[in-house]
Amino acid sequence: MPRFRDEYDVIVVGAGPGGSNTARFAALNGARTLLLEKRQDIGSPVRCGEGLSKVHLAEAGITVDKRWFTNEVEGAHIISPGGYRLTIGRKYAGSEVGMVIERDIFDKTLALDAAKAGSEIMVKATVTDVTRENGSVTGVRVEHFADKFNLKAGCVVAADGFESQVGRWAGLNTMLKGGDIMSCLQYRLTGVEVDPLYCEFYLGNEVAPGGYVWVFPKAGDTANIGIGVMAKKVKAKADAKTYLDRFIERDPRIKDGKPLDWVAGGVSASPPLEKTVGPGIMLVGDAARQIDPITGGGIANACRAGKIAGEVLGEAAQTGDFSLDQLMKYETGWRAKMENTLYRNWMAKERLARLDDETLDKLVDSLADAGVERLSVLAILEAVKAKHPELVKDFADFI
Amino acid sequence: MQGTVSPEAIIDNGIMAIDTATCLHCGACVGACPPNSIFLNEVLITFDDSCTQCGLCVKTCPVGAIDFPRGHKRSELR
Repeated sequence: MPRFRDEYDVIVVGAGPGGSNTARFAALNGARTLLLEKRQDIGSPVRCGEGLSKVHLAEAGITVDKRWFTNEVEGAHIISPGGYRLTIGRKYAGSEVGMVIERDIFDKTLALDAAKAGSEIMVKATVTDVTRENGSVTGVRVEHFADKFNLKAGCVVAADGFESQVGRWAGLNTMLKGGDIMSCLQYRLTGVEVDPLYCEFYLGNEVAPGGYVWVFPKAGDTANIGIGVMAKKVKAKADAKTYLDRFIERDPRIKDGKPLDWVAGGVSASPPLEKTVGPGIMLVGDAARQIDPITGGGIANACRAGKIAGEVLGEAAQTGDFSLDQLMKYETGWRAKMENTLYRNWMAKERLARLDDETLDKLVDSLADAGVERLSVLAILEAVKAKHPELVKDFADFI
Repeated sequence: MQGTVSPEAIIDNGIMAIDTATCLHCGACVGACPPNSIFLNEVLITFDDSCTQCGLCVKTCPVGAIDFPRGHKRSELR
């Protein structure tokens, strides 16, 4: 085991995809980098539906690897409350389908890439606070087994996921409204008979209020079956579990499946944050609320943002300039890539969450009828106008 | 299992109450908490006194492991 320094150019908190990719590109670009993970086992337990598209991986510097890519899908079905079904082909399957991956292996592979690039890694290292001098973050307070100590850094990167506290300790506002929090639960069930080539998304106020149920096929007769419900719409404790259990009980293909694991967690579906950078601090991935508010997918965006962050931090280390101006290059960089999409999809989510079941049926029926394969705004509006012109006013301002 | 709460599994510090037999330590409550009052270290969840008892964690918990403390008007604990 290496001896750890007490000072680094970059300390990344959290070894998920966003954190590991940040550490990798920071180290590749010459920063002395430390990646901290609170758990003893990077990648476990999995907290993810495991759907991923190849679209943005190359941009994030990640090559597809058979170790974690075990099931390719052709596309996705979107199923309305009344059973109308819209099928989206592979080419247009949006940002979060295409592959169903093994997240634990994916995360370990990315951490391994960070290590190969020269980053150090400390596991079972919980960050309990940030240190500050003159209004700037200067490092982190760490608990590592029985030891408690401070580490200094030119910049601390909070890649600590949905439950991010590091950014908040550093004074960045990451607070979410109840309408922007999805309460999620998933079972990996084996012994199910689902189509291995399609991901399925079920909509409806009786199915998943403000969210959806997903069925993502894994290798073998196994699938990830999960639910996200909007926290604001939760009526009773454990609604996520109640609705998911009811869904499974009513679907003969899956009701006798045996659980291999339970996965719970929160997912943000929020507009982009006002600030993801402060003096000595950056937010990356779920911690920066970079999740797509429509799909709930966060892996690709976290990896894309991580690469940008790592490159900016490498440059900072090379020039010895960790000023706010330098760090702001990350803020500008990630927003140029994804801010518009995140904002537009948040607006669409807000709209969809207000529709009643009858309207959802009409919407999905119109799209299926018109053979809309591509979810572009114009194509959707034209299809809806042709069959249910009265619905267009609900979406006209998206043009 | 469903619908039953064993009293010895409840950790109730008068601020909020956790059903430790049901909690999956997922951290959904931590990310949802507006004043950042919840701390999760592996399997131990604690609420500090900056909590405003807004109840967003109760709604966010996917498995219903969080409740208001005993005696609170919205508590379901007896």
